[in-house]
Amino acid sequence: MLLRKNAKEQLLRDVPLFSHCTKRELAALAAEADELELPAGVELTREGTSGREFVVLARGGAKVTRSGRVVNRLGSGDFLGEIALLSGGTRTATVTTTEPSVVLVLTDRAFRRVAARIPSVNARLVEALAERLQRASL
Amino acid sequence: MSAPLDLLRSVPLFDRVDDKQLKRLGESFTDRPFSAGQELVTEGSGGVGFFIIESGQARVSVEGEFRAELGPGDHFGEIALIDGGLRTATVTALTDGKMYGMTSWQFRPLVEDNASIAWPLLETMARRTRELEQRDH
Repeated sequence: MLLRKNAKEQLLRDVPLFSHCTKRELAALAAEADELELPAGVELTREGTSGREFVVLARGGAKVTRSGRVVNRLGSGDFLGEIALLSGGTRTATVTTTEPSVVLVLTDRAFRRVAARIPSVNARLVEALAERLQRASL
Repeated sequence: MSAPLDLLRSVPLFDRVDDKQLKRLGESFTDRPFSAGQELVTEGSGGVGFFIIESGQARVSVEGEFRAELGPGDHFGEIALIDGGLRTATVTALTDGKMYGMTSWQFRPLVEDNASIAWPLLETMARRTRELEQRDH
């Protein structure tokens, strides 16, 4: 079932990454993103495979596994896919939904358009990556 | 005084930033002379700055234990620049010298207003995250 436009914008507004967006920016974002309703057990990315989509977990939950080991859990508002998208390599982890979820998917091109148009998203991404980088370097 | 371009080029975080944007970044740096024995940053303090050493030597220590020696072209504090977190090490000058510094509140607006600075930073950070996370496995 497709979400109505307003519902999609509301979903986006609840995602911290987009919380600084203006109404107009949210509308542009909503036009770029595809939303999917998924059951539990769906693989959003698979470690080692190629894939360039950026995925926002708008509602629901997922687990992140690397070499079969659970390394993180994601909840509503979290995002994934940014490393492969930005660094051009394969997926660094497998992400699988653990409950019925709503995800918003941006292709790498759409993501670049969004990043160019909405600077606050860039700043948030830089922060999120810095945190991840710091965890990885500990 | 803004930081020289060739000094900024030596910073891996700025790898993919083009010279025009690098020059803009450079304008946000100020020069800070230091003298031997001076504590440049202190572990556990909230100093929010990124520094590049132009001349002189300094030592990095964590909980009083020696970790590394820094010299011209070396830099520290790039993560604090972005997340404003607490210092994880103490850096003490061994000789007189000069460094260039930028605070996170100078850096942030540059990233927020400027996709052509933000995007290359993101690419470099993503690459490093990938390398570090894969090293652990």
